[in-house]
Amino acid sequence: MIDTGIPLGVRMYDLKDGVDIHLTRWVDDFSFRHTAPGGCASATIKFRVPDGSNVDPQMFGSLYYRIQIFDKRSAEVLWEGRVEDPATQVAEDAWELGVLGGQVATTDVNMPVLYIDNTVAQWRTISDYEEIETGSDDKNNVLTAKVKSGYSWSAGQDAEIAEYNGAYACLSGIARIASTHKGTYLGGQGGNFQITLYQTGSFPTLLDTTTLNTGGVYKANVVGTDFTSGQISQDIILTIQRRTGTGTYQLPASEEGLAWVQWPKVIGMRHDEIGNSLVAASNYANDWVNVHQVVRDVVGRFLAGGWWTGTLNHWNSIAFSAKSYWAYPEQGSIRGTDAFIDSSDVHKITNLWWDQAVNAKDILNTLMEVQTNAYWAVWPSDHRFEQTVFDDILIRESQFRFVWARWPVSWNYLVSAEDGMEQQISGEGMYNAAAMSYDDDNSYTTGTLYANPRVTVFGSTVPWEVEEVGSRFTRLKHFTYPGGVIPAGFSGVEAEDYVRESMAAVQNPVNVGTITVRRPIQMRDDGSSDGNGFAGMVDPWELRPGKIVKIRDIFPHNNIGDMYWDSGITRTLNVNNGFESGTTGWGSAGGTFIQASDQKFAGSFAGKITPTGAAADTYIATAWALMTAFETYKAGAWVRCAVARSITIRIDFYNISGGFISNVSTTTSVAANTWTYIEVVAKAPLNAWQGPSLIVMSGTPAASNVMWVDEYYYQQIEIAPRGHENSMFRVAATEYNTADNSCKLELDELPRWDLSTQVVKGSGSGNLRTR
Amino acid sequence: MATVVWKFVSTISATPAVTFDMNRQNASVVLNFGETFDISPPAKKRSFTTNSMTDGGLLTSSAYENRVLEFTVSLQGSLTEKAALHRELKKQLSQDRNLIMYTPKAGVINPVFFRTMKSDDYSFTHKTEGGPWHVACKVIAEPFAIGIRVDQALGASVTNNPTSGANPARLDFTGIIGDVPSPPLVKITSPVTGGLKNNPVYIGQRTGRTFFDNWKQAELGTLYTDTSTWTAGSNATGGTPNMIVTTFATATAMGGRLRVQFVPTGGDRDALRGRYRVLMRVGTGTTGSTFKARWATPGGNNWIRGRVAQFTLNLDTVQQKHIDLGMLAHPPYQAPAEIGYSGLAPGIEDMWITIDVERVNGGNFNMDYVYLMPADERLCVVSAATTDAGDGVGAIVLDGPNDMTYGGESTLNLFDTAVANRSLYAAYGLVPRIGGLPILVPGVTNRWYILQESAAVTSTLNFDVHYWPRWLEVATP
Repeated sequence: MIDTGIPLGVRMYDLKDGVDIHLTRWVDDFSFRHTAPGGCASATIKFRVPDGSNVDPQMFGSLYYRIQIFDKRSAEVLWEGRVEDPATQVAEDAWELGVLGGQVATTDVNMPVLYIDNTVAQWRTISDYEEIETGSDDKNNVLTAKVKSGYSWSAGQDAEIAEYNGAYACLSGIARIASTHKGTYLGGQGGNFQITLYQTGSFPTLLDTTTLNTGGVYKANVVGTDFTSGQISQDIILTIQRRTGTGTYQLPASEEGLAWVQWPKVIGMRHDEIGNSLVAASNYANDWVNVHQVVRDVVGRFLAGGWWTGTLNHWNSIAFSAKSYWAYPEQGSIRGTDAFIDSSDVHKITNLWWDQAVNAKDILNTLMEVQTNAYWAVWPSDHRFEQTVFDDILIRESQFRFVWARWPVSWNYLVSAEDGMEQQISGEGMYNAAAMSYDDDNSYTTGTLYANPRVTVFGSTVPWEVEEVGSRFTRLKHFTYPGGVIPAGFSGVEAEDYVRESMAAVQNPVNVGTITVRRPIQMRDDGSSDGNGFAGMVDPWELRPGKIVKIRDIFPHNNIGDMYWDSGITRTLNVNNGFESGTTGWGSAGGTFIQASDQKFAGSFAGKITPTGAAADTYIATAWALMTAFETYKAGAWVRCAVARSITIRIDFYNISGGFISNVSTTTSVAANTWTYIEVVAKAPLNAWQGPSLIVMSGTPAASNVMWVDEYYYQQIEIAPRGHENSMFRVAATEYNTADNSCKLELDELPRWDLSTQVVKGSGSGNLRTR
Repeated sequence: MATVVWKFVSTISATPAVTFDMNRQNASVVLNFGETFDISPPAKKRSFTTNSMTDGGLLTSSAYENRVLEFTVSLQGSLTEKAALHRELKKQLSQDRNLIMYTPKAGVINPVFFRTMKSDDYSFTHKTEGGPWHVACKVIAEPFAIGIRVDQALGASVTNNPTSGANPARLDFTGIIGDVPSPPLVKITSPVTGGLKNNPVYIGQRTGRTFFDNWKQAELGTLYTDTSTWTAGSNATGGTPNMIVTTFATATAMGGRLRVQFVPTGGDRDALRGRYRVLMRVGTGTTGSTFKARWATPGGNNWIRGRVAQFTLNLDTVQQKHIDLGMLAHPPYQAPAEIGYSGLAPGIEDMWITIDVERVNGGNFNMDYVYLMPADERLCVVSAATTDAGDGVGAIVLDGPNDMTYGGESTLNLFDTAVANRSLYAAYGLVPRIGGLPILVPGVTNRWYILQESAAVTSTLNFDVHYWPRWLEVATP
């Protein structure tokens, strides 16, 4: 092995200018910084050109030349940025380069953008005739057109009532528009009037007609289905029209008509991550957008060159020979081809647009408010000289790599007290915060804000706009009853608890100090959270933020005395707990098992089994779940039987080969036709690997012993917080310094528990608290 | 003739031009051993991690400082003679850079050359008009003395095939001399016109280790979804079959297609330890096919998966291509360099690597082998990049002493006496490089691992390798 000091190199390059200089021997000790979010942040490189080196140091002073700091052992680029502030120091005969890391690329392009607009704020109401009075209801997001008496409508005559201006304002094309169309009165002539929806401008296209009706008809018009990419425009006009072939009609005195266009939602055209416009209907299937869809667009539109023609990108239509042209600048600073974009988040964004210029950084930071376990980072371009036959090797090399990553859920770095932690952990910083809008009737008018310093507070009703981003942004987790993300059968308090569970993932960790690492430490990252796995020993200069560090010698339970736990921490192992999805996920024997609505404890359905009368045991069972020896498991359900009898709930334990080990059960006598809660708690024995839970009627039950089961939960209980989580921290930033071969890790505190795994029951008294 | 050689010279050579001999060029100049003569090794700057919980401290990095050569030259003769000699000595001391040639026994011990820096802050003593003038010098020099150039290899042909050729995708060097590692000067040429153009070359290094077969034929691995063995008519390593093909007939999504097992050669289970870039040599049957791929290896209770690389390939019966899937370490968990104080290295388990491949669009995906490029000592990638329509550079030079890479004609003769034959390219001479240039370690076998990114298995590159050994003060006879 080679011992030649710290094996780092410093490279300055700009291939367009023919610069590829390795400054390693000329630089003083330096430091470089990474952050999460952000990625490569900043560095200051001071160097001196030796006498007689036969180079003109002035050439190093050029703005935007790239600086790479790399590992000479592996050619791995550790940090990369652009020269932003070159300065000479005459007294020292030195150059000092202020270098901005790759994250600065996210502020390069500023422009308006429209992802989705579910307001009427950008609709301009129009009255073609004085007999039509148009208006908009900002509170309820409804456009109205009141047709006054006396006006004579000829067949086919129409009058504009509103025009959408948001796409113009946001420099975006329209990919989908959806709204609910209603109308009434007009002397019984409603059926002869209709609301029409046009795309205008360069591509006048009738997208939709809806006969006036009192019930309301939901209409969605999507690119690729209802109009083509060639018809994309920025204009939408709504009119009211007397249908052709219906003759002339003059509204008599005292008769009026009213047309509503309710809850219009306009979705802007997006790009993929390499800058191509998305023009298929499948990309706009819903009246919301997900985080990863916006991130893809941000990468493609703001970072990878999609801004070149606004809504339609030409990059891929350019012959590769043209891409080789040195001066072609529109490929963007970041390459989308290998961007890692986490798509796990299911939040539904229903309102997101900027009519003032915005940059990628601001959008991405906003999205972190939605997907709270995510961060963005711009990492080095690496040593890619060529990866595709079409790429210009010189251009591609200079593009940074982008990730929209999740914070890991387990440790990535192991450190110990010898690494010098500057601050001990404190429970004082425990803090949950969430803000979300709440929707139960598709009206989008009100929401519930949860803000929680230590103790969850419910019930404050706030406008659905979230304060920090004003009226341009709404994050919304749809809760619909039944179905949606709330399990069927949950309602009221339980639904609220489910909301709390969802919210529990929303953490605002606080900075708790630093650890300074001066030696190789263990790293383990499976790559699932940021697409870049690695396991092995890593040197201080290789440490990055966006990881979890575990301090292995902090006593695991040192903070448990500060907290108490007043409800179970559980992880549900089975699905379709309320039988709202048929019998999916359930098995049975000794009877006929169906989904039934004749009896139910919650929701619309329960599971129902009718014994054959011949079988010794009649039961329903969950699917087998993976188990861990010595962990604690619980099964509980509400049961009802047509006759009074005993019912057993049990958990069976099997080994890895499927061999039965043992079971633990509770038998309860239940009254006839009475819902009764039964429960069993068991500790998994040695070698337990898998097994189901069952509810059993034994003793050859007669066919009359019909049994209903509802809200059947099979769960693993984590009795106490896992101790090692008390010593785990997010690495929010790292700063490596060659002078003493140290890397300072700036830490954020993790929540003590992974709160997202909790299910807090309505009957429980609360959540994690501190005292 | 003085046995101790101590003189300023113009070049590093066995017979250099002498600019000022400080020891008995004549009777008037004498290296005064009655005063200090100190050419001790340079000090080191070190970084430790220390704390109050453990004794001592762990050395985490060290590097040599510059050194100071202390010596006294005594000048004798008439005042005029002494003044002239003094002027000549000052002239040498004040040079920005200079060379002092040293050997303790001329003709027996090879000379070394200290590369000095401007150091004209000497002490000057004279006591009588007729007596000697004593010039006590403290000359700053680079940490190491340089030995006479060694031409380690001339025209060594390296085949772009780890299984055949005199130098199968590697070069081995033994007999490297010096006290510390030396940066070599390497000239790479291709026997084919334009062979270096836009064809990145990987050069990894491993020294003093038991080497193992760091590639695995794909057709000998365990094949997974939609993947089977296949025989390419040419340009593939191995026998029959010599490749694998993934058709994506049932699944295009990212998933395992191949698993290979790396085992230590000769049973030295320490051989696998280290870091590697995972490369694979691949092709396709359909021009413009785009794929994504990554490595995966078992780690703990889960898989460790590397970064996804996306790449587009062309149908090309000649050129398969190496794709870099990024860094992998083995073992993935910490293992000591030695077990306790036993001096015994722990055995390292075999390495299992699965290659996941996804088809973005296009046709079949073909793979020749999986290759582990060592990445824990030195690894660089150089590319004679140019957009010029011509053939690009004819020679790539890795100038280790100057930490530079540059290019020239294929006829470039780096040490020719005629400067015209040492001409470097101007317009197309840019040779971008990332990573550390190789370095030759004395006393052990040095192996360089060399792959061309896009070239046939029969393609060769020629290597000239020279180095100047680095000595602390005294060369080995």
